[in-house]
Amino acid sequence: MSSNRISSTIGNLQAFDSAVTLDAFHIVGTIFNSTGNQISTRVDGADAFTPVNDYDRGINQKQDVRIMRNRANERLDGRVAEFFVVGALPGTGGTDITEFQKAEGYLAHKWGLTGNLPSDHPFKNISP
Amino acid sequence: MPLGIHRHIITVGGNWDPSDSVTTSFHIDAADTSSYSLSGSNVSSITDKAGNFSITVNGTPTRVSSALNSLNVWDFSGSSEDFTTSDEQNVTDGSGNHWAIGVFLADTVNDTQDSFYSFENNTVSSGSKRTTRSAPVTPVRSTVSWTWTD
Repeated sequence: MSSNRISSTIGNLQAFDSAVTLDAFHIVGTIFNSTGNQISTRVDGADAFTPVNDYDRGINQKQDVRIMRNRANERLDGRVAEFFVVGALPGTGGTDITEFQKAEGYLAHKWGLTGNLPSDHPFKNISP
Repeated sequence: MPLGIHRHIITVGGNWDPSDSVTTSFHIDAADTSSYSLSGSNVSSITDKAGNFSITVNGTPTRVSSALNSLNVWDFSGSSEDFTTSDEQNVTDGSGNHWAIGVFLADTVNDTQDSFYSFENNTVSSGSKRTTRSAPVTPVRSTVSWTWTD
């Protein structure tokens, strides 16, 4: 295994626990939390897999951004409403993700997707 | 406070906004028609609302009016359309802290590498490359996965 892994536990691929349905809008986000040593992906306000507490080496600080396209030239047929990137902790420290949850709530209320959020999401019924 | 006068402080939600609640390094928004230009219904140019990146519009993604909660979205055919930045800018705090979030729809999927978004650094050696892509949807299992390479 390469000594340059982002996460030795995960390797190159982390599958989601369940499918993201096609032809429907979803709130999709990813978190690389170096301070809390955690990597996670969330779909519609819930973890897409159990967060992995093994973030060995930070992703490159400077990167380009590609929307509906992977690092090569493979492109996805679909739609985009909004997307933003933050270079900071997702919360107050450790593995806290309150700031990220506010972003989920903001997008859910703005785009009419509160029905996608689980009932226990802190911003299902009120905008952050 | 005089007797009989009550002061009520009511806290309500709704103030959080990515434009001022956090410092975004990249931000695109199909609902904000001032942040992109059209040629007919085709998106001809787009501005990073964070003010950091220059974005190239490849192919002819289209604006679909009032498509989600009465707001506009962008449509990509999967053949030649994408938004790709023409430069590399900071997407972490230098310590590896980073998060990204958006609202996406996958329509037809024909490759395991189909992705909602991806990041890449093309200036470091391949052995130092730590980049990401999110949400390729396999056509057979209809599952979504998250991949990075080193």
